Amino acid sequence: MSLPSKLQRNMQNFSKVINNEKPAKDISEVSLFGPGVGECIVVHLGDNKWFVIDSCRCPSTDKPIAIKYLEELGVEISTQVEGVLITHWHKDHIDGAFDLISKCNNAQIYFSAALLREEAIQLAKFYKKNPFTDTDKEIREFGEIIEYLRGQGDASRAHMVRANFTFCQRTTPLKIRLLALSPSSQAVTQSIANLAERTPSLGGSRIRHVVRQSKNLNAVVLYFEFGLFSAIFGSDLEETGNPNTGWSAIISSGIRDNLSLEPAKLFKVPHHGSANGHNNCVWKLLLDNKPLAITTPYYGGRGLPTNQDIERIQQLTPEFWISRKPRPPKPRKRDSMIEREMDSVAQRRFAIEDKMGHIQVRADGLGSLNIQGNEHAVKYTA
Amino acid sequence: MNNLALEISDLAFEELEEPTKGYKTTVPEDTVSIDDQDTKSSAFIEEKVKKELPRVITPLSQEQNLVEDVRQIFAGFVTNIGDYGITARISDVTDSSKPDEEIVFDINEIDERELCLVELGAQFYWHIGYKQGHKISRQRFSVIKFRRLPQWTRDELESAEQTAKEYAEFFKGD
Repeated sequence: MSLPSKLQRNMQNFSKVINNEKPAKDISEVSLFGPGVGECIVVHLGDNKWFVIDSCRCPSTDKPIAIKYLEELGVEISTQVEGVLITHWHKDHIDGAFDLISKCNNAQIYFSAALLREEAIQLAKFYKKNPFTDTDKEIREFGEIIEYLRGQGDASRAHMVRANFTFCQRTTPLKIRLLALSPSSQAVTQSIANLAERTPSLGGSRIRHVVRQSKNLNAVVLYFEFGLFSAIFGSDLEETGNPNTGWSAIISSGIRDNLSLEPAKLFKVPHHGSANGHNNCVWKLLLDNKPLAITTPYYGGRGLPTNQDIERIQQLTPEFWISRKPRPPKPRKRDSMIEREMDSVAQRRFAIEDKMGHIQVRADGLGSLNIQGNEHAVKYTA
Repeated sequence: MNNLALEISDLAFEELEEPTKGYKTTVPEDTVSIDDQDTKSSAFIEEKVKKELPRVITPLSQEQNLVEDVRQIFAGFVTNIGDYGITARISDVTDSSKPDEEIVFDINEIDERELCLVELGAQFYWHIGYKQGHKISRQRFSVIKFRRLPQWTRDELESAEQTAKEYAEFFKGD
């Protein structure tokens, strides 16, 4: 995908080094990591308390990126990480989550509600590693987490999340809140039904790709408030057009007024900026009139965000940051004969690999922001 | 040649006593008269075969002697099936340090006998290499073979169902 000249003009690369000093107690942080096949958000809730949303691995060390980054900051992971949330179980959001959770001894573990239901656990039990076949890594990872929590014998650490769930709430010295805006009850029910459809039947084939990228209704959208700074993390929630599911459910539920949500200054654009995650009302009702927008790219399928997605989002924000260029990397070269043969069979090829992009936003309680990106991040301005 | 082929179609075939090396060659008994003397003359047989017989030659021994030099193996699974072709994610089995790739390929790359196995999530192996036989010169090959995996069994279904119930109860999922 080549960028139109207008987009290229408005795109900036960065060579800044991300601030690897631990933020002060009264400074919040939102760090978005995204290598094209993964996404993870690390949040400083203030007062040396941290929260991790989803997981992906650092390509160079294979460590969960949240662990790598928090160790670099000098955070005591076993005691200072208060919570880990798995917003949904797509591979690009759950890779490395087991390692992460097993290191965060004091953290509460949160799952999108449908994931702790019998239907999801049953799939995990089917698709564990078996001698006949490879199985989907995301299901194996989920299965390992479930097994680990079950083995610890403490069910109180695991929580099912749906809209209106409160992860943390403090009022002094600043008002700090972390809330779930989704999934709606109907979305949870529908997700459970989708999971049940995928339960293998007698004589059925052992397939992979059980967790499809489509129909993502169960993702957890979060609202984070830190004094006068607020942010919405859109996960991969899609727009369905149904007032009871997806983004429409958030708008129609009246959650903004019910929970007195201030318009957010930062928006982690859902589903890698795709059109199916877009809802105009979200930009009008839940966000500040000039919010900063951040997202990660996705290199599967046609790749996201597309040029049209970038242009659409540029019109809604003064700055749109993407953790890496939305252009998939070329595959690594192999022996020339192999390359020739692969090219003769494949109409299109790209590598599912990456260097880790990082966007770091730090804000004080008065709402002033400092945003930085590492050398892989790009910024589009209006 | 076509007429001859039609004439011999219903005739019995019998294997030559001294088949041409590397081939299982069959000749219609009644079409060509071969006496003992003729049988001893391989040049004659070859000439007859060349001039009068259809090429009823099964390169069995050549296939058996084929040597495959597999240079690259990918394990893959189908992630999308569309009008434009099949999208799949492949992992390098030969060198696991190489990152996975996503590829799109035409359905014609798949053996017709395997089309019934193609579905979302179906798993396959892709072998690339060289092959060479007794009378086959070295050539590249690329073969995509879909896996025929054991189906889910009643035991597996019951075991997963039971454990899931127990775990869901533990997490108070019900």
